[in-house]
Amino acid sequence: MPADFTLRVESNEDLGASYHLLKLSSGIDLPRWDPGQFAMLSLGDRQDPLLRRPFSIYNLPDDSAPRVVQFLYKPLGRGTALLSQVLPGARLEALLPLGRGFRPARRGGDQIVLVAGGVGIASLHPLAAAEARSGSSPLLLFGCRTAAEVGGAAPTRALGIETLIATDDGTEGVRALVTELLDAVLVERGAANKILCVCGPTPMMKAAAGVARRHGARCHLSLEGAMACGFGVCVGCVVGVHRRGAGEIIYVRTCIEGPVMEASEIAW
Amino acid sequence: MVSAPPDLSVVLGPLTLSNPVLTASGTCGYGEELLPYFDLSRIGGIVTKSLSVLPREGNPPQRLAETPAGMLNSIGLQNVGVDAFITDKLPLLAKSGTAVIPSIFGATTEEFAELAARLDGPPGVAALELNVSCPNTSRGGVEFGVDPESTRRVTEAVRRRTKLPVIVKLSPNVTDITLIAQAALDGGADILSLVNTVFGMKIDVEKRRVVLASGSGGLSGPAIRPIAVHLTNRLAQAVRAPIIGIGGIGCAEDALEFILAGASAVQVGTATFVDPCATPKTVDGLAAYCRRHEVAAIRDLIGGIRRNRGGTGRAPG
Repeated sequence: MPADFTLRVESNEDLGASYHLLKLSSGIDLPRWDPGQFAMLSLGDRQDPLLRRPFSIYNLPDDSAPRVVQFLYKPLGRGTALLSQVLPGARLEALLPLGRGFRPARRGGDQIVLVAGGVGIASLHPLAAAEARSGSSPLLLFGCRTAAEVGGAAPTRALGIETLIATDDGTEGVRALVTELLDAVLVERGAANKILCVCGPTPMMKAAAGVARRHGARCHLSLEGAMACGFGVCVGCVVGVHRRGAGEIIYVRTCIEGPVMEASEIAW
Repeated sequence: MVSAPPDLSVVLGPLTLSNPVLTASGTCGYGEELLPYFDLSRIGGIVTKSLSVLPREGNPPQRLAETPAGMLNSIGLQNVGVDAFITDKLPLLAKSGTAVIPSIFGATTEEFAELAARLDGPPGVAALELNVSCPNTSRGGVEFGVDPESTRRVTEAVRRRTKLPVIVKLSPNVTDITLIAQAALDGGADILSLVNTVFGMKIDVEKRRVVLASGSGGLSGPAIRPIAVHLTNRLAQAVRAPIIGIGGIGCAEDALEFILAGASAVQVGTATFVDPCATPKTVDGLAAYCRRHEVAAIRDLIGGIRRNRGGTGRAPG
């Protein structure tokens, strides 16, 4: 059951290449969360900007009664720029855990392929950690603009996970879009036993869904939508899905039915 | 000596509320999403997401945009339809201990009348709010609410089909809100609520595109509060009917501006998006204010602006 918690900022570090890691602590036990679930974070007691911001939870719950929650983010907009200025000791309100995370249905021999575009690694990292913890061997495909940004994947690689890099300028890994890299990997290694878990900019996820469809691979996307509340009442963050048969689109709330959804049902 | 707790109950014509703070339509779903966060009996009432005769899918995304101290929305009244509301949502709400006020929306006068008839019967409905002021639909909505004669006709059609108290929600997007209000009262409205959202638009100058898929939307949040307080004050001086104030209310002090301006009750809207407990916290804040100012009953504050020295206290135009 989600609830609203007042959390203390333990650290808010610049990791380089504009990646920031925010660590928050709670004085009381927090509910456990799944990889891919998110929180709505306040930016302090202010009316402008007014709304809380959704962030994927970066860490796994550390035990049955977790008290530490982490977020990886980039200051891209006004809200995240303000967040990057928050100092240790400050208090933030956090509504959590929200939404549906990654719960891929597994068969024996299946392999999770994490496909991350830039800071999209934030929602995939806890899944990688859960996989590593359970002794599985996931594969990480990480795409970004240039070598300097590859550091965003460093904590995930440090879990000992096989990682392939694609950069726009070819300064590290292959010079390609991460979705082109994904296509090549599926050609080379086969798609039948792969479960793709994808998070990144919307055009990248749309492209990944297309690659998955062509290969017949199972594919889960962690979506984002312009969101005011995060708990279902604003009905702003909807995404169109095919559920009632050909041609007909219905709108479902990303914050309730997502953010993780099956790629095959998204009406792009 | 321990003083008695302040009396927060209010009477709005035929509608009595345990306290004057309700949720605003379109900001609380049908109540169920709020259940994890607070006991609904703590608040004066819940005004549901607007219901139509048939379910509606609403507008394509992008539906929201943040703006200075506020936000724009263009949801397009996505809702489950009145039948599913009565079957699936109302039974739970009716047991919640708060006043349940379905908001209704029709594309035609006949649809408004049909909705009123359908909701006059199932147990647990305290009143109806007529959404004649939604800015985000191609037919109906604000089309009715900007024209006095259409407002009167819709209200009258609803009045004929229900014994429930009828609230008409007014749009701020009019030249003279008192004319629309009077038309609603002439049609048989018991209570007026104001304001719905203010027309607004946001443009992404880098992309040179409108941000909302529908172009324009409705502005809400603290940015519109002074507009809403002004219109509440103006309406309170023009009509005798009870008024529910709406617009950027997020705490007791905000609510009190409307109450002092002449509202008998208020609705908390966009603030719920920021804090799911904004409505019950506003109730608690009103009780604290009454204790601090030794006010025995909140109704004693309705319309209670003190006159400025040398001023009239009246709103211009």
